Amino acid sequence: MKRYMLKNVIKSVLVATAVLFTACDKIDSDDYLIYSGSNGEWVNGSSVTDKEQRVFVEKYTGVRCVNCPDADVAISQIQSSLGHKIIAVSIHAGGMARPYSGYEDFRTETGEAWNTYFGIQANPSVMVNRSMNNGTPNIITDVAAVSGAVNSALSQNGNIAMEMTSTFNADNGNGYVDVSLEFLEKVADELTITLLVTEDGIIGKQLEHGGVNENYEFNHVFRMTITDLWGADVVADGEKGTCRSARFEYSLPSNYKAEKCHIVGFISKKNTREIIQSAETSLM
Amino acid sequence: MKKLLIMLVASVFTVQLQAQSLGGGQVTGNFQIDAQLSRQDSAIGAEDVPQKLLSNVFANLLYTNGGFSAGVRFESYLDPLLGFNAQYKGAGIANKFMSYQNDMFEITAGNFYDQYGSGLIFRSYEDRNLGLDNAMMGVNVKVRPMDGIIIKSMVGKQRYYWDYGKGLVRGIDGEFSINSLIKRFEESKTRVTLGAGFISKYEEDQTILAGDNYKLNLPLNVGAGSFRMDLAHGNWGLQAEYAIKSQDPNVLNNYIYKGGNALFVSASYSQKGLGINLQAKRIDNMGFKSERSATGEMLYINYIPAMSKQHTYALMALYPAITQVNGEMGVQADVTYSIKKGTLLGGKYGTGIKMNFSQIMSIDKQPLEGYTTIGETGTDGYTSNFFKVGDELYYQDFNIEISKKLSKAAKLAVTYAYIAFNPIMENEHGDIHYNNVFVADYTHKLNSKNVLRGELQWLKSNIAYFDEDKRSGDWLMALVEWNFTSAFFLSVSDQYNYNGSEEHYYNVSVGYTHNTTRLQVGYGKQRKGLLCIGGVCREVPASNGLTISLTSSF
Amino acid sequence: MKKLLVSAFVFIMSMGMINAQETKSLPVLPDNISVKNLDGKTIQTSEFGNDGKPYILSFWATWCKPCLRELNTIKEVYEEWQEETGVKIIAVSIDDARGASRVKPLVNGSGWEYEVYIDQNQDLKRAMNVVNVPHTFIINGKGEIVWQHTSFVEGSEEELIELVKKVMNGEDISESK
Repeated sequence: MKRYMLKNVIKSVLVATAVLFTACDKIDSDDYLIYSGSNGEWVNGSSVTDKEQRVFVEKYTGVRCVNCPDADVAISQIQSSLGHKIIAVSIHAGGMARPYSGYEDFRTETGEAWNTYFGIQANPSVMVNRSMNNGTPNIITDVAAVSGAVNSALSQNGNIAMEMTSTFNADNGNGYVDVSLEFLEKVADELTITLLVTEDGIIGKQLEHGGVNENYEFNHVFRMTITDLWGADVVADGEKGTCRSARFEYSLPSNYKAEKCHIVGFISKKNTREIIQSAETSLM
Repeated sequence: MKKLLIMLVASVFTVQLQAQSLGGGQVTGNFQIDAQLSRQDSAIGAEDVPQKLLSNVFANLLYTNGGFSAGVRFESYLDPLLGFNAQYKGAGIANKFMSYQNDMFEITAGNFYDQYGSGLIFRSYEDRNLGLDNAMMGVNVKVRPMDGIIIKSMVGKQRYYWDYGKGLVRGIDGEFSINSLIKRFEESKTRVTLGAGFISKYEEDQTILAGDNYKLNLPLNVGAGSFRMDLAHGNWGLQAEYAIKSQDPNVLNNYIYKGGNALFVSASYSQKGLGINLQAKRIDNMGFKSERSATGEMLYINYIPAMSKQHTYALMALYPAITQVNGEMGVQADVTYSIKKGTLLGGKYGTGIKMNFSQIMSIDKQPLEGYTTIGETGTDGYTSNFFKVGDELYYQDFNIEISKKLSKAAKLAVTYAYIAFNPIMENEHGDIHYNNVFVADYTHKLNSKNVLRGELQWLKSNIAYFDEDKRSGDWLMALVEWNFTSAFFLSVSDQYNYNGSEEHYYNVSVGYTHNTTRLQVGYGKQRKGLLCIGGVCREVPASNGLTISLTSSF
Repeated sequence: MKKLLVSAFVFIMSMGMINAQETKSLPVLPDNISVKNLDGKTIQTSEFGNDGKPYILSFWATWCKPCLRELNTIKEVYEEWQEETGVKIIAVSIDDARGASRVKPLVNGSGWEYEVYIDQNQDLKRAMNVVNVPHTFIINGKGEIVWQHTSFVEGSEEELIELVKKVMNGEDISESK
């Protein structure tokens, strides 16, 4: 009797184990990565109603950088006076962006690549439209100087109108952005478009003058690019009056709160990487 | 799954009704209330608490009647005490279960806690002080088909604050006592227990980007298995467990596809008056969570304790070892020795000696062929030579405690520890801290009702004070405690961070215990730091104010 | 589904409450919890006992100083106690994997003669509503919990043995301190 039962038990355990063992997936090393590129195809579009010139203000920052909250204050002051003409992005990169133990790491591979490419030496560093001066990037480390740089950037017209609309499916995290461009004057330069995602309202730990603040609200945090980090080519003849549009697809990682995210896009010159126009829309 | 649960509830219910008619059953329970009033103190970094009063409350109610039992736990965090995750904010029934068992089997529906072996692949547990609760929500079945065999099987999701983790966790485990199963070993002095377990986690696909234009092809099912044995022969004992984990790219390992493994071995010898225990372990990529992108201390499926002694004296616990789930190798030796009374060293009452040594190192990690860095997302990460010890020292601890009864009324225990601590364990960079710690602990029984106890502690560090780490610098601590029977105590203490912030962390506390009800009120300053239990840690912010704690069980 | 669970539960609880009030019986030691002895063998709590005499059940851990003080203090008088009253001490360690393999060497090295079990998954701890250690119970010959207490200080071992003697004499100590 005992022996009979034992046999049955062992049998059922073996069966159950066999079933469970199949419940672990093995992926071949060639298949670890799936191409998820989504560079859109450009087609002829219609005229863009929003013809405003906007300025892209990017801040290189870090949670261990005591002066960085000052730059946040300066940029939000400029935003409150100039409104949506200012598109702010906060890039956490470099040594001072090393996360505090137990807190989220805001650094990204792309952010680090930009940080290195532009030669950011100190935090906070601000760039306005990635403008260049004799071949070197204009990096502003004095927060008081940002306002002036923004005003002078606003006075230069990029001659391109840009509009974006975002569509997002919260169930599976997939979405796409429709971009429309209209050339207001002839633009001779080869252009690229870069699309990226930022997130607002992240609570975390930030060093401040008064010590660390564990409830610091991080806004405009750069999360990911939808295009390649240096953008996708804008396929257009550049003649005045040309209208082009394209759709870019992406998947949003589930740890980013879609309702707090924005999509930011900018058009830059391919050779100098200077930005001539930008736009922003909420992701949801 | 839903249907199954309803059926279970219904069947258990029927059994229960029958049992009811037989009468009886008992209700027991316990509760714990912790409240905190803290005010701003910029010197130690204590922030203002706008709510003024914070509280955590737990109340457990347990009903048993024969083989049937059921329980609920109410929890409230309004608002959570300082250092507890803000996601706990709220109140409600956090835990509920029903269970029926007889000699052959046991079934639990609802929340349950269990572990396979030592927990290398599965342990769901609760530690209120850490604010950690990995309770499973699902069904757990244990079968004892005959003496010497226990088969367990379960399915469920893990608690995540007031929610559940995304991953579905399934497991099966068997434990076999050879002595009970094989007749001719029944009376053998050698006791052998073998066990094996398997855990599988299923989680839906999600987008994890790897560089631009690529995302990860994620394994939706991740498996982990372990084998273990427990040998005992008279004074000797040997325990070993080996675990492996399949591809599990997750945020802890930076989304690499390398499998994980862990080995734990413990050998011991003991006779009356002497106990020796030697342990060794190696952990490689064993961070196993039921949500691949979850950070923090919640949602761990497995449990890997730190291989070092858990110190209880405040200054010895200042720099605790923290488990490195991504890789560590450790050894530990522990000796307990009692010198007999009446001997030269033993004196009139005997002397107790405890010695402990532990060392935790990194494991060997080499970049993959064609790579220069270790652990790149979307690759196999690195290669590791199992037998090679890594270059980095994480933790080292040598400590010795001598305790002696001096007279009928007086007892003295002196402890010395040498602790090396690498801040990399807390994800911080910096030099290794080398600390010498001395503790004298003296107890004097004035009469049958009054007992006085005093502690003197001294920590000398090689690292000069720096503001980012409020522990750095040297420390002195004194504590005096007066007990009036076991019913009442009053204690006064001060921790002084000299050669450092020059801050005094004083504390006064009184406690009253009546049977199982205990009320404790404390007033003083709490240093910002880590509270660690079993190698798992929680950051505790600085505070200055009143704490009240009431626990009771019935 | 959730509602069903909760309502079923509330019903059972309320029935249990009513019954508990009617009978006013002492709580009993849960008899179907598994713990391990120091040789790794699984033991059911139904096997706990002291030949019809009362025994002391004490929860402890290797990292708990007051627990070690309690068990070391009692060690010195344990022989005396056993001769006088025949009482037995069952010491249940709640250590997890970090401390569990140190339990046996510590018990023997300290020269404790108690019956020691390891409750690694803390099933017994939960079933007996133990919040903090040390937590000490006196269980009478019928397996009923007649007294329990948390915390330890030198001298309370004397109160403990006095209570055990009262239990042996059949006195009701449920209201004693």
